[in-house]
Amino acid sequence: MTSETAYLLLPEIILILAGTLIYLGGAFAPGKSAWAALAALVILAAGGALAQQGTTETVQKALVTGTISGPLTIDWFSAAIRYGVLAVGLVFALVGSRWVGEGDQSEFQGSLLMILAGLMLVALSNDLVLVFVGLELISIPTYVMLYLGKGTNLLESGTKYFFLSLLSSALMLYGFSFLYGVAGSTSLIDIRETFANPDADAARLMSFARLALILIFAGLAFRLTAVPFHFYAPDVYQGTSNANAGILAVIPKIAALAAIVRIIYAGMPGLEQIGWQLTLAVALVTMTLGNLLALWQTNVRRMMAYSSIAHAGYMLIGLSVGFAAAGGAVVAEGLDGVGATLFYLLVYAAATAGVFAALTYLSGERRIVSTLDDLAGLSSSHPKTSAALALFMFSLAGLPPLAGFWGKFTLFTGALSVDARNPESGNLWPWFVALALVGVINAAISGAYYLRLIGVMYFRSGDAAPEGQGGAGAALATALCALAVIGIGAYPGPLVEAGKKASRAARDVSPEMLAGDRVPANQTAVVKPLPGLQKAEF
Amino acid sequence: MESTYLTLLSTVVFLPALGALVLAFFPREKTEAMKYFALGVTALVFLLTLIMALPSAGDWQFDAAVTDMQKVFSVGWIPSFNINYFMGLDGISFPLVLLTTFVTMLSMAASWPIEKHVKAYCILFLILETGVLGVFLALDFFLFYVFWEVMLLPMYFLIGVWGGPRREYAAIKFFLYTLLGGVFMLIAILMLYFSSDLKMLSKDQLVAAHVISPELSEGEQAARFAEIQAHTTPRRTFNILALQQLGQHTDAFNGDVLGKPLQWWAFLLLLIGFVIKVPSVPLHTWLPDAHVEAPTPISMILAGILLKLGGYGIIRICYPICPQAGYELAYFVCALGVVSMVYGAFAALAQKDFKRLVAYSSVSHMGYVVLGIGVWSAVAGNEFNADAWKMGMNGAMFQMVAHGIASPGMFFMVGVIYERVHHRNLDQFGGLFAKMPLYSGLAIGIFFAGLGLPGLCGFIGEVFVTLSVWSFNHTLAIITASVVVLTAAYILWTLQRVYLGPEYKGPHGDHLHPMTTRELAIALPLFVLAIAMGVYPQMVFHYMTPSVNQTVDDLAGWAQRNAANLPQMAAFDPTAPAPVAPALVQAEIQ
Repeated sequence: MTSETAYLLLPEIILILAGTLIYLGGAFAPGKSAWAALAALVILAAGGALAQQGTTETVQKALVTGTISGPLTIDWFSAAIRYGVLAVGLVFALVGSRWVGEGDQSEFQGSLLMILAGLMLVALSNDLVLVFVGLELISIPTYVMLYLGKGTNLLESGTKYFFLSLLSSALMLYGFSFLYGVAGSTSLIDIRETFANPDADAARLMSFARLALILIFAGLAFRLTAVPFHFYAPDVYQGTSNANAGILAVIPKIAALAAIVRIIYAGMPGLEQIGWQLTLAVALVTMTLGNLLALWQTNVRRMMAYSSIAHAGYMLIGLSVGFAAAGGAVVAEGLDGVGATLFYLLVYAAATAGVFAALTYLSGERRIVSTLDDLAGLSSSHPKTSAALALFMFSLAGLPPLAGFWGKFTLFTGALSVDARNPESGNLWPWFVALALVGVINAAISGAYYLRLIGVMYFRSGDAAPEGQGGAGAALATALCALAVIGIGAYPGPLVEAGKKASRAARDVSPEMLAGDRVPANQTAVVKPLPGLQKAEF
Repeated sequence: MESTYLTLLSTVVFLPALGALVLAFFPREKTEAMKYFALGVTALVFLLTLIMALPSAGDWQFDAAVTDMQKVFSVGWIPSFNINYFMGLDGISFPLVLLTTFVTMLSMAASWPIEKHVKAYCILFLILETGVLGVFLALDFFLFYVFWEVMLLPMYFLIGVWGGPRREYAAIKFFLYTLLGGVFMLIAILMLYFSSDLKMLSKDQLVAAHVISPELSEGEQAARFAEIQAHTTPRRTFNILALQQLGQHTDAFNGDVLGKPLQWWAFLLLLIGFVIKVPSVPLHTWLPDAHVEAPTPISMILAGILLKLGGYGIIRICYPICPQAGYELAYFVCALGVVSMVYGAFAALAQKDFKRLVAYSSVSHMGYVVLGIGVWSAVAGNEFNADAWKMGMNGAMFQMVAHGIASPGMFFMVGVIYERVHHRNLDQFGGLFAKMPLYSGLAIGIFFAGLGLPGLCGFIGEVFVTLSVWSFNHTLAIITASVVVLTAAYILWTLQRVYLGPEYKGPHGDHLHPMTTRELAIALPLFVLAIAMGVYPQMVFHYMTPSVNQTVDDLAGWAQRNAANLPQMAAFDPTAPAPVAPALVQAEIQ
């Protein structure tokens, strides 16, 4: 690791060191809200370090051209994800500030910081090994976290998540091995070069590349909660605490999308056909199933689990358009499918984190808010929180002028902009129109359960008002999310543009990335194939 | 000039929202003051629009002689999608705007009995007005859509919080139906957007669509035109006027999609969105539930204004943008109208709940609107005589305004009696005339207006539509005419059961005190207008006819240009006599 690489990783290093310290410190002073404040400060410090890096000449140049430094890729994509992750992390640090069970405070906050660091590594990495390390750095603290706090069935939900997460990691790793076999390198930039200009050996192994794509996608689909890898989510969310459910609903999705963009979308050119077909099919099934099953739920966390499944489907719409566009389909200028997905991810995260922050705030020692009935009459007992919850629901349902509307709008415009009159993309067009149609019908269906929750809060009267002991941190987190939902709704332009910029950065390769600025081979973490294990021998 | 209009129309639209903002700072216990304030705001907005109807209003005056859009302004809003803050008025929207501000004011006055969460009620009420006015004034399709959806939220809460026992069900049903229509509309909007290309239009067409401001000098216009033409990629647009030009003068929306032109699908999607709002059978089931559960003032707004948004959308958007689809689907649209009329009337006959009966009468009466718009009888052999369709379209527009007066009146009358006796069971009324003569007199007048008695407002629209249908299809015309009998049946039977009879035997008989001054102040204007419009329909036609006729002429012109490619209407009989009373209608119209 060069000093430059270490410097570029400073935000992650800050997070991991602080996380470790908080773990250790918890042994001496357990259960203090101060740990949350410390974690929030650490996140802000990491953000500061990131911002400071952004002012240096190296990074500024890197952001324009996209640069590889050791195993890291510095470009707009990693920058966008890192900032986004820190913002989400700040919200969850606040959510967990008061009420995560006795004595578990430091463990919760320490795990959170680790998770954030892992997430940022996934976005940064230019190497399959580092991607995997990043993903595990997310998973392992998550296992710990799932046993913390106060939930209805922590043990079951933690165990379930643990085993299924292992399975998905194994699937993904299996896919990685095929990918390595085809490309002969774990460096994503090398893999991309091989796919763009395959030599005779690689061309012969392309069928394995397809297998690799499907396996990797399957492994990541588990984190994205895309059908058919979604089934664990309702049980796990229902059994765990509100704060944990929020983290599960948001963070693995960011990781999965970042990895899909880096490995499949950007890393495997030439396979766009299978890419758009796979994502399109999964998107159709995922959103429909998620929304339909959500209709029958009476447990809020379970409902939000199905909602998060449905939203994973919406996100795949943008990916599908992105793959089609990368594969040569003509998409109207100014639109970018993957950019829309990234924007949607942020919009979704704001609303979903807000919902779980509000639920955490409403809970108390005696009762954690779980069912719809717990929320009955909330508008009179907690008018501000219920207004915020209503706002999140409307945003998730995609009503203008809130953030969620713009998220859906950018996704659907992307799908419909695949040009009808262009002969090259003509045969794709009906598929994408169908995708958009199914998408909007789903948006209408989803209105039913989001509004039911609002109806329960506003139109019914409840016997026992929720205690509302979640603390000022959770309240602040709720307010921040509400502001984000309104603010993005009022002025979506810059963030939509940022999404596009990030997506383009991930896909486009500058000459510098291929040659100029690359660190000499002896300093990279790229694993060169052993002489005896040539790819031809596969 | 544009800046004057910007100020004027923005004030009209956003004054209620501003009032809602001010209301938020009222102390909680001053409920009376809040109601007066909200009433003041709605009255102010009404006055503002009323002034526009006056000849002496100068710049603000709505010029009824102009057929095109007036008071138009356009400023950029979201440049990356070519979305503009673009509004204007013409003879189709202006009467509806006036109706909106008027009925909203009366409904606010009818809101005095509301005691629960008064502040929230007034705020939502005012936001609702902003949403509705925005829809009527918007000329940018995206802006239209945003207002359309914004209108949903206050209505959902107004039904859900202040409604009757099944309010939660009714509110969510209302919301989901409209949301579903809205998302279909969004798809259609985007389909049209991505097929649009301003480069296909001539300079004059671009000026007519206000893409190039008519206020620019000739040279500047030419420069803007050259600028648009210079682009290599398509120039997409949400401008409704430009989309109309594209739909009528180019083949932009004729691309093949699964064997049908793109505009056929767009028309269908838009039509679904709008007929949900109208509502037409079979998408009407939200309406009776919403009406029965909603408090009286909200029912008045729902029936008086919100239903008109559907008809307005069909006139303003469906037909002018997708004329070919409109032509091909003429029978489908007409059938929707006729089925709604018949079904609504029969359903009304079967009702026991007074308010539900009035709700079904709305379904039936709004069927006339759909029918009148859908009658594509411009093509007679190879002669393009649009007179009959003009009559139908004018009738539909008149019917919208007339229904906007009569049906809030009917709902208010039901509300007045409900407040006294707390039930709406038609079998338990009777003899109200003896106890409340003034109220019963007004109510009978308003119900007769709904029935369509000659000399009252309901008559004109119905007769125009029925006459115009005759030249389109005799069978439909006969059914249409016979619905009048059904309407008479359920209204007269209702009047008999409620107001006539020896004495009131239902519950709470001792609460039947006479109308209060406030109630009279709401009912009387509606009553007077119902008569005035019936006796002197010109007061409405004067404003709407030029624009309506222009719209029909444009579409007939389109049909003339494309006559060779159009299938003849299957049941069209070229030997059929000309419309029954064109001379009378022409006189009416001019």
